[in-house]
Amino acid sequence: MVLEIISVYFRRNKRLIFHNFNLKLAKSQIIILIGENGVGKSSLFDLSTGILKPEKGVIKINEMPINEIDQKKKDLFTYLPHKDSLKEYLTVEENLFNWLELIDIKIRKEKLLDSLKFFKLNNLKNNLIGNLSQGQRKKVSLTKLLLSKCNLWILDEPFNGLDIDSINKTKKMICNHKANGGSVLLASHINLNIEGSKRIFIKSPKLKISNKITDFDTWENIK
Amino acid sequence: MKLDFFKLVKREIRIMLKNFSIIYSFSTFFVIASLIFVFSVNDISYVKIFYKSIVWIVLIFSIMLVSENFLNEDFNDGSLKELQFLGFSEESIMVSKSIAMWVMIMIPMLFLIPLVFVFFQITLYELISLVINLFLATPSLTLISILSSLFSVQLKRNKIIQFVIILPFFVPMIIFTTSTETLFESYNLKENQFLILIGIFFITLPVCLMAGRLIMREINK
Amino acid sequence: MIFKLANPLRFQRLIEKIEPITLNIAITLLLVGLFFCFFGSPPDYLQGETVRIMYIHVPCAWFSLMIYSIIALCSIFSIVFKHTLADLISRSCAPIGACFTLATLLTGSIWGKPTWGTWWVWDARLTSELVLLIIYLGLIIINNAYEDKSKADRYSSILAIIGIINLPIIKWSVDWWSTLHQPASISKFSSPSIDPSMLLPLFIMTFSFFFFFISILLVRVRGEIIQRKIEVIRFNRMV
Repeated sequence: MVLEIISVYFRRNKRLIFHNFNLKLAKSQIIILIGENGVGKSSLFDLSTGILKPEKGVIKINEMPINEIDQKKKDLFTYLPHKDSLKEYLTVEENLFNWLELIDIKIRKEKLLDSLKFFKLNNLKNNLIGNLSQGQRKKVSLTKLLLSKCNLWILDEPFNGLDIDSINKTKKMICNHKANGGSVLLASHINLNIEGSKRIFIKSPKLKISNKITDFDTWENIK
Repeated sequence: MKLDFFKLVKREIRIMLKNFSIIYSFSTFFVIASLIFVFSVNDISYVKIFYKSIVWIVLIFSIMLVSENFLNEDFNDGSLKELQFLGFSEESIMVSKSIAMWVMIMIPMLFLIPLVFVFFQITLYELISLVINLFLATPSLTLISILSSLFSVQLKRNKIIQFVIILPFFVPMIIFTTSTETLFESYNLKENQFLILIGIFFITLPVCLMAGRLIMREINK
Repeated sequence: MIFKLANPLRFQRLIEKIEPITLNIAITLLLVGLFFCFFGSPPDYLQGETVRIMYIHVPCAWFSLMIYSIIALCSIFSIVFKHTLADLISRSCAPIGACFTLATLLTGSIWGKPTWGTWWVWDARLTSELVLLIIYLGLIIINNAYEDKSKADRYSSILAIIGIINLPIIKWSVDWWSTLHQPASISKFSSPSIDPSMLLPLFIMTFSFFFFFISILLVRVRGEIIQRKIEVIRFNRMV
């Protein structure tokens, strides 16, 4: 299993959003998480990348518990969170080079230009990120996927703000990754489909705390 | 591990140099704020006596304002989170940020200190002691102010809290940098002052790193 | 969780039982102590009648430090074990501690006017006590700054842990710097440099303040528990 989430309990803002949650992502598999806003998709991604810690339960990447991996995290997965972490006063090229240096990948400029061509960004390479539109910014962060060498991709709402042409390109990119043995976990609030993918609908669990005064018998309940 | 740390420092400095306007605004703020102090003193001979207090108070406030810029931006565009999930330790993130910030403060200081020399008409001996004080105290100042902006990074309103909660911790720094003899008359500060500043740095470093780690764990919830 | 202590309901009932007892003890001791302060003890040969302010000032100063230590201990406990009770205690301690510190500073300056001839001196102990007050105020502010209470608790406990640095500075400031404020005269139990007739009212006042602190703390903790329950119920209605 590339990613394994085993009976996870997680609480946010007094609400239990994951109650005994399980998920398994195998090699060359695509899983699309579909759910309403606020159902906890981004929290699930933060949990599986180790930024948040679950109250109970284990999360494993490549059979290793996530909190025991420290230094090699960047070789295991590529995570594109909702905030794209691009600096507005740097150009497209500089942003990507900064990111590449952080994950220890050295490539030549020509190769970077090639990957920029995929989303037709090559003539924008010297523009500042602050001058780009929302969709163009999204494309820049999706270009990171072309450059990364990780097996596991974790994508938070990758199709937001993209035009139809780029959505199809991204789908093709994801399918290619699957064909090469990679696995993808992605979230969406719209009901979209990628061929060969498994779709999971998330619903928020029923609240465990009732309104009766006698139910405040643990400190957890009044937290 | 070691390489990772230098990578982070390099990244911070590169980003900071691209955002050069912040260095301009820092140095301009420093000059204007000290000028306002000078204008508010009606007898110019007082300025010679109070130059230390003016320099240090202006420096503390400008550092705190700058540090907010350093961290809030990273928090808002998600790069702080990115650094965390890429596996960089919280301590190295914090130290690299403070090193970059220290460089950012020291570059304009090279030009500003001669200005202080001219403005406040101080002697060469006083200037040298001021420079040494600056070098020894600014690392702790940057660490504390980065911690303070970590405290307030999640607050959307009422940013002034940052100043209220962290200013008390600047008190020892101010006392020993300006070496207010009237405060501790019997204690001979003149000779030990530099050693005390180094000592303060070695207290601030672990405390700030520990607290920063705790806050950064909390920040994404 | 390692420590379950008791459930909140039982804890609340326990508070309701203990709280009137401690409050009664506090009031009785206060009356007895005040009698000893004003009538049962001699005036100082140097300071005259103003020495009687000491019977308020010294216990307040002790408690300002003790309450901060309680907050700091609870903060460490809450960071390590994440138990809600520690959060509640440190949250309810902060305003009480601030009041004790303020009382220390006020009585101190009232005493200082006739004795030193000034309301305030920038002396190491006075300054560090003032810094303690500011740290208390920072804790109160940060407790109320965040909408999410558990987040506010985490942040304030981190701030409280940083603030521990101030405690030894206050305690030993009179020894490190020879200040205007006199050094400790009670701590050496073998030969205290204070007359037994003055020691008695001081100790009675201290115990009275202690029980007063406990009863106020319990009332506040109970209020906090009830408030959290209300929040949970309101939240559940909303969803």
